[in-house]
Amino acid sequence: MADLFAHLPASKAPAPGRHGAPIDPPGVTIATQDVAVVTVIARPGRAEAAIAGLAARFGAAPRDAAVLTRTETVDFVGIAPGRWTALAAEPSATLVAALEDALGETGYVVDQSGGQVVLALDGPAVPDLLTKLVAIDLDPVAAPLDAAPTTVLAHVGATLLPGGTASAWRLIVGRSYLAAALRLLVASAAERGCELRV
Amino acid sequence: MSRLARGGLIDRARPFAFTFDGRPYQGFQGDTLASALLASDVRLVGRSFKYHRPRGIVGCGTEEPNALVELRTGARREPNAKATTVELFDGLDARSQNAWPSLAFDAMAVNGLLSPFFGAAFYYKTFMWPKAAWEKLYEPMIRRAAGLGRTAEAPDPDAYDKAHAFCDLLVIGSGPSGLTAALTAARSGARVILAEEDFRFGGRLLSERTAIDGAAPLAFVDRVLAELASLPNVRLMSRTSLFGVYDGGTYGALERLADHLPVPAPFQPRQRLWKIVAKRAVLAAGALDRPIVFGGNDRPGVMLAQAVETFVARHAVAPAKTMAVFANNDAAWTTAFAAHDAGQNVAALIDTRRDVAPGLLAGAKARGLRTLLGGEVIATKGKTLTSIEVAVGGKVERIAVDGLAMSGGFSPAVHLTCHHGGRPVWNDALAAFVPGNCPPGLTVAGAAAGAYALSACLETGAAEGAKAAADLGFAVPAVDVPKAEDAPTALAAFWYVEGSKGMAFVDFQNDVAAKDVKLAAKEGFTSVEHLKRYTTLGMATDQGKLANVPGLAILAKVTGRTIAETGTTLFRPPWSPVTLAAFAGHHRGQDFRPARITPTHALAEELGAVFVEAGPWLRASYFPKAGETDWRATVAREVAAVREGVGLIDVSTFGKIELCGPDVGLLLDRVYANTFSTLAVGKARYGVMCREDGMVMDDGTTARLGPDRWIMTTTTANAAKVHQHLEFCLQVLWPDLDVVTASVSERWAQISISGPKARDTLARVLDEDAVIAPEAFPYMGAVETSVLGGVTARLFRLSFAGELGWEIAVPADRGEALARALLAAGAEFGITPYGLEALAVMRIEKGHVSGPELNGQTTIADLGMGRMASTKKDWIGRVMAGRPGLVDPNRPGFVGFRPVDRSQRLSAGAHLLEQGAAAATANDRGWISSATWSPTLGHAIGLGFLAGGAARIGEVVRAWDGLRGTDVAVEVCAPAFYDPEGVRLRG
Repeated sequence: MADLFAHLPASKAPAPGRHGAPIDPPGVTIATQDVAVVTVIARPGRAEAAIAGLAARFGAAPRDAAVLTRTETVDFVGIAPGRWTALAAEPSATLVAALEDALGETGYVVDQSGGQVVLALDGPAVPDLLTKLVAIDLDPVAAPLDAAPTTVLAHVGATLLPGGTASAWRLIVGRSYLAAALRLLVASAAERGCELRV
Repeated sequence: MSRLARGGLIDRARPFAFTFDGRPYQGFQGDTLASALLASDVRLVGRSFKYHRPRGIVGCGTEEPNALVELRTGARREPNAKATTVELFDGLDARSQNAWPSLAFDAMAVNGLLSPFFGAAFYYKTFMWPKAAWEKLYEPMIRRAAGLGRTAEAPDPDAYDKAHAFCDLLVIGSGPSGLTAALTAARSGARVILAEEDFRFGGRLLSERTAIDGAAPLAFVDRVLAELASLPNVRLMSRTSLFGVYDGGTYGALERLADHLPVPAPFQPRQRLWKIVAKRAVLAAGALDRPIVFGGNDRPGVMLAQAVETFVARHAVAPAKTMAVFANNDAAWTTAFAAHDAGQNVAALIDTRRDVAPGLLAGAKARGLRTLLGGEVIATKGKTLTSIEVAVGGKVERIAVDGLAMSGGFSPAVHLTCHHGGRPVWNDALAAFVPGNCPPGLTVAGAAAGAYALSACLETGAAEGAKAAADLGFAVPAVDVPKAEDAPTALAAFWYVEGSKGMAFVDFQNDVAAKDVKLAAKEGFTSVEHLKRYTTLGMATDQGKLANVPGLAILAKVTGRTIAETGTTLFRPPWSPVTLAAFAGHHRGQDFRPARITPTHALAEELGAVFVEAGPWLRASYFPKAGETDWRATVAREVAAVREGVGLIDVSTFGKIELCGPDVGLLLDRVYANTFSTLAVGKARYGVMCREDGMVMDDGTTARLGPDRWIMTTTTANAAKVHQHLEFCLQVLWPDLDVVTASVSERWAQISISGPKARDTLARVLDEDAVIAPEAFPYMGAVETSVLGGVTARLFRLSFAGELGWEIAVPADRGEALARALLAAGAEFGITPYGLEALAVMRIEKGHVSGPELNGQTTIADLGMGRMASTKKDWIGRVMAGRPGLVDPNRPGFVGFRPVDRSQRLSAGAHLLEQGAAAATANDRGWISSATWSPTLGHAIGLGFLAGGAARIGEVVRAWDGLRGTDVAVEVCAPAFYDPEGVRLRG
């Protein structure tokens, strides 16, 4: 499927629009999301206190695990012990301020907005697409419904966020890898039809 | 036509037209290429590897050594496809290979006449002189004469895919054992994958006649498959070869998605490489019939009895008009009966045993089959088989047959059990190797374990499936194992017809004959490992599936050992060949590896940049302009622009690590050789960090943005490594430190502007230009501010180029906007984008170290920065850097070089020699690590390491480059060639 983009230099992402098999609706739709992305890190030995502060502020306690915790305004996904990626559809400065306020002395906040890109994957072929990309068992039998692994897909680091159904996920990838990730995603989804909205 | 009138698992309503060597034929859906060729009376399908002997179809599956063909044409041409595994499709274009001018008349068959000289390893013994001729003449000649198919010579137009699957139980093979294993486990709720190499599930049951639970075996297959397909916890994978067992319960599998189609459907991958992670696996791969070694056993028309049974029962093909059977076991009699009953004419049943079960004799008699007990086939005749000579009771008889089914007994398919080093164990009763130590989590059922009887297959499969599920905690319902009558399976080991006429082949594909095995033993190669390599026995694409056991048996006999004492070689992955393209998957061509793109990549393209790979990054190397004759001219212009005006470069690829916490200064003091805890807020400092062994690991600047917030930059190459190092220090060495880190390499686009006009340019994009007033923002200052009307920015007053300069960091998605704004702001000053080449020139002019100097073998003292290293604190690498060998004053130290004759060039990699010394290793005094032509100075300059280092400044040595053929007298000088006092930097 590399051949799908053989005409494109490696630096180029596929053009927005339909790719692959002309199936309606397409098996996979890929769209970028305009959200703030922030790293939240508890100070050593302060994870529980940090979680308590975040819970008090946002109404739900982020779990210290590779799972997604959704609050009314912010999604938290555990990416390492005592460390989360927080996402919110608001200006990053607002999110940073809210998180710092919630954490107080228990942790630190590092803004990653602009450097991390969030891609929403949707469609009936998404589960099959993920089996191609991710060496992690995402079957509901094996993984909790809120499982949100941080892993690699074909040498591109990424965090996967569940969307509530097997056919809806979000991916967080570094901006420098965006073109490579989109080439991989679209090429892998091509047999089932893919629409790219970026 | 040899198509039987009835039966078979072919769809006679779906005829498929195909060609072989250009001639049209017809088969049916459900045929393999082999069965369709046999049905069309095509017996001769290929030529052997070495002797170019005519060869026919021997097997019925992946064990096939002979019937290797080329499929398709042009870019899709595929060599060495086994006709026995090629699923027939309408329009299939197949050709024989390794024959010229034609398959029927192959000129290279003359090799066969020379076979007395072509014994084992003949080429090692024969082509010894003259020595030079081996590479130029002999090897090319041998390779041309011996070979297999031709690869396509155009890029593969198809797509290949990779995927991952997970299960509780992986069942390999869908014969009776595989089906009961899968069903038993699946009923317990375990997640089951049933993988079958064939395009149809059922294994031996597709050609089996023994009833199961009183019904036809196919009814059992259909019933089990229907139930499995109805279960959500089961994945059925046909056309999928399990080719390898790897660590952690990982299995490699190749799914052939479109090999049964003329071309894959648009956007459909041709093949998919699966990594299957299974908590348990049951190997139910069955067993393979074995050839008997006798003269002429490779003649087209001689095939395995198991293959005969398959072609007759599954494909409704009579492999011959008249067939004989030559065997040492009961199963071959069952095959003969089945073939006869299906319409195959069977002329004689020749058994090496003098006694067989009365039931078998009765069965033969009832069918009117002639039996020759204690008989041996001693010769065959015909280009394709026309007759055999049988020795029995002291007499020799010629029997006219065009087909001979041979069977030397079964070899369990133990191959996957060897993939973790498990060695099969010889079983005298079965006259076969059975599985030894299996990979963790893998058990074996049915014929693969030596349980050949159908009932045993059904039982052991169910038992292993149940055991696997129970081990994993599933409640296994009571198992109602299907019942089957058992056909007789007795045998008496027999391997080789001594004294038979003609070449008696052991390994058909590699043309290894019994005489080669004997010769190897005679020459001392009595170890099975030596035998394998000396004769190439078992080293062909079939991995010795048929050849290994007969070969070992002959070796055992000639060395006076038992087979158990002789031992066996192990089987390695893959079980069956896997296309390289499947391993590559998405990663070929442009997507060989992911490319990392800088925030200003698109802008650089607009500006005409030539890019270079820097690790995974694509970075602008230089920006040529019309009229510039070569890259050197471009680089000279770019350097001059920076030195005289202002230049811009994207340095976003540097690693960036944010460190937070009250103990960051303490951490940095320990990881850097120099002191950081005293660094004031708003300041940056250059630092060097070492490994435990005292060698420099990385360098860069770290700035203090607030009392407990710092930002570290690393080299591009070491971004991940340094972060890993810091986390190791924090998590393992000093977990008491109150520090956290976060990589922000992706977060920040970082643009460097340098040159006398840098301040004027930068001021125009800042929201508050006062922040960069000289008195407010001195050299090595750092500040957080904003640009472009509110965009968060970090400014660092640094310049690798050695001029007045800043690095400006903004969120990565604003990097291009910042660069465009700077270009606009600096247009008045002739702002010039420059690339890595110009940067490299300027850093060499400044004497700054970089990758060529930080090569993992240099200490901080070697680099001339020893005085930076603090003696008041401990730091990683301090102790080891003090080892005597590392503080030896004669150790190569960092210095600069310029040619005595300023018109001469220098090259990196050149060795440093004393004047008059011979160019010998013993005289080596160091090397030039970086060299360039300095447009600023107008001559070549270099950096490097010279024994004695700075103490030799002013002396003249030689830069000798044997690769490029240069020998240049160079003057040793200080490494900073340009503005050594740093006046311009601080201006």
